[in-house]
Amino acid sequence: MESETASTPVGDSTGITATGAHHNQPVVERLWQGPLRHLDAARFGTLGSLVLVLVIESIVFGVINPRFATGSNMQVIGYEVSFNVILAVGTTAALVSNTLDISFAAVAGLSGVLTAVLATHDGVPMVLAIVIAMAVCILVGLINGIVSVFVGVPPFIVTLAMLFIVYGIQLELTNGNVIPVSSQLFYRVVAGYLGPVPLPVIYALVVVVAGAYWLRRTVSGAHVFEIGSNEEAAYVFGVRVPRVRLGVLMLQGLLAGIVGVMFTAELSSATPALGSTRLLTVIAAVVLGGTSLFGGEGSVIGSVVGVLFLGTLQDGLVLIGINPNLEYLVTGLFLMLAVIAQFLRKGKKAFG
Amino acid sequence: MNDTAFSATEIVKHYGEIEALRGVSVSGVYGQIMGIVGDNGAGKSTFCRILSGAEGPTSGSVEIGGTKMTTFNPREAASAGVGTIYQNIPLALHSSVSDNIFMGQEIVKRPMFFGIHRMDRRLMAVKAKDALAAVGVDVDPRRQARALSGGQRQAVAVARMVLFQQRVVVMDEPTAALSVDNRKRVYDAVHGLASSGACVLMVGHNLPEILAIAHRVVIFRQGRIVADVDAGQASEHQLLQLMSGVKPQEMAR
Ligand SMILES: Nc1ncnc2c1ncn2[C@@H]1O[C@H](COP(=O)(O)OP(=O)(O)OP(=O)(O)O)[C@@H](O)[C@H]1O
Ligand SMILES: [Mg+2]
Repeated sequence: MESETASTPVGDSTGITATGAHHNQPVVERLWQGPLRHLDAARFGTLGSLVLVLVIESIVFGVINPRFATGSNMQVIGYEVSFNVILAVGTTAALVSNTLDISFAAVAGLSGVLTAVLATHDGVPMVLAIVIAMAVCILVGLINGIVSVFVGVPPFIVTLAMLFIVYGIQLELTNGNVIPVSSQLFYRVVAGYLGPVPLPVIYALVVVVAGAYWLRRTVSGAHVFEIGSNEEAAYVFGVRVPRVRLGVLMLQGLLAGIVGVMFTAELSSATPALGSTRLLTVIAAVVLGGTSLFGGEGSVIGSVVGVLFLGTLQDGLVLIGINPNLEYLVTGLFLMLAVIAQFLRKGKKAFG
Repeated sequence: MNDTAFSATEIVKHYGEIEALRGVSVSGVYGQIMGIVGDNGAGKSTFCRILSGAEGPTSGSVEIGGTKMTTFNPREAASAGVGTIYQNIPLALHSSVSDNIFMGQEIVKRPMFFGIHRMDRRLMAVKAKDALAAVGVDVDPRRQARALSGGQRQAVAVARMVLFQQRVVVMDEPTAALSVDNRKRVYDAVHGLASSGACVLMVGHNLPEILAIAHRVVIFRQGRIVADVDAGQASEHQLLQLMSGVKPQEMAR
């Protein structure tokens, strides 16, 4: 049984950290005993290797095509990944709580379309359009939550239905057309630049810091992990499970809404199905970053690395002249490796 | 004098057609360990879940420490002093030991906004360490719970009860999957809880062990309590008869 293997101190993790500490400077030792002591080394291994692959990947791209390492290409990548990073923060929280929401990319599209449609009405100020779009996205999350938490339908199914509903609404609102948004101010504030840095990058950083802080340091963040790990125990121990679950899905809605507005600003227009291709990329990035498909484990930082990895890959393949269609193949292979690693870790527990 | 820890009156619980409980009335006293035995499906777990607020009864009432339960949720039961330990759902294994001990009742540093509170993990670890020591377990509270043995996990759950001074502790088969050593550890912790004044209800299938640890044994059969005996007076054989409802002469044949 599990208890046999588990009684040895923290499994393989301390083994790695301890040897690391022996051969290295006291600083490293202090880091391991200090801020890094919470790191499960197995997860750290996954994340560490992903960072390593990311670095190697970047070096290879940079050597083959020096344009990869230029500031303007960094801006392109930064722009591109910041949207996915924001979506990934919500997806991380959802997966950690053992909820798979597949409607978020469609919700982002809805938010963009709503903002554009409302803003082109006379007399509706842009700010009001954005606020309404956000409110609708949070409402969508709330409905996802109510149906899955109180009716008990698995979130995957609920959000699948919601994906269609939301997409249908977008088609109805736009008639399938592109809705232009002409406000220069809107573009500059939401999708412009601060010096050389694209604003979306800064917004994404804020979301990442807030999201990581919330998940790691706060009571409700701890509850997200505990619910994902053992929902029944959390409930009998007095955690307000429904509230947390609703909160996670509403947060996912809000973040998707923010991204939708950013899309619209970036393109100065909205189209139906805006950003819908990001659904699978974001989920893949989060899983690559070490968030467990079984709930209870995961980190915002890991997801950010996952998004950076896939974003860099996409950009770099184009730059070095490889057929960009290969991006899917490569993403798939890495994802396959990552989930096999996850399952092997589980398996070791079950059969060890 | 009022040393009634809990009292359940005419508890009935139906699951659709199934009558899991058919009118259970029983009360417990502070400082007492009450063993609960009965055949599979007799309704023991159902009774435990109702007492700990995980479910509401179809009819009947529950009082904990003089407070009548109204909403039947775990928070209500916990604030009236009920703590629960289940064999099959002990802990959130990916979270730390101290997060588990404080789950649902975390120590917060400062409230932020929208009801978001920063946890004081340092203080939680210190207090968790003390509570663990009180039940005789020496583990680092910052460890992940899944690194603990089955017995240690149960002990962590008991430490919760100690820390929050839960006066009514409901344990549904806490030792079912444990080795002899680990069972002993849990029993020691249960003794500690009872001698500090808690009323402990313990469901178990190991009759000799139940007889050894409990002061009193309540026997469930088909959704009813069919007997309530003094553990010092009863024998394993008697309990078996009461559980199965078979008369002594039939048993002998
Ligand atoms: N959630 C439920 N839905 C439907 N029926 C249930 C549910 N929980 C329990 N029952 C039924 O209620 C009856 C009592 O079950 P309970 O789990 O309380 O028995 P028990 O005494 O704990 O048995 P065991 O010794 O096997 O743990 C059984 O017939 C069971 O099938
Ligand atoms: Mg049972």
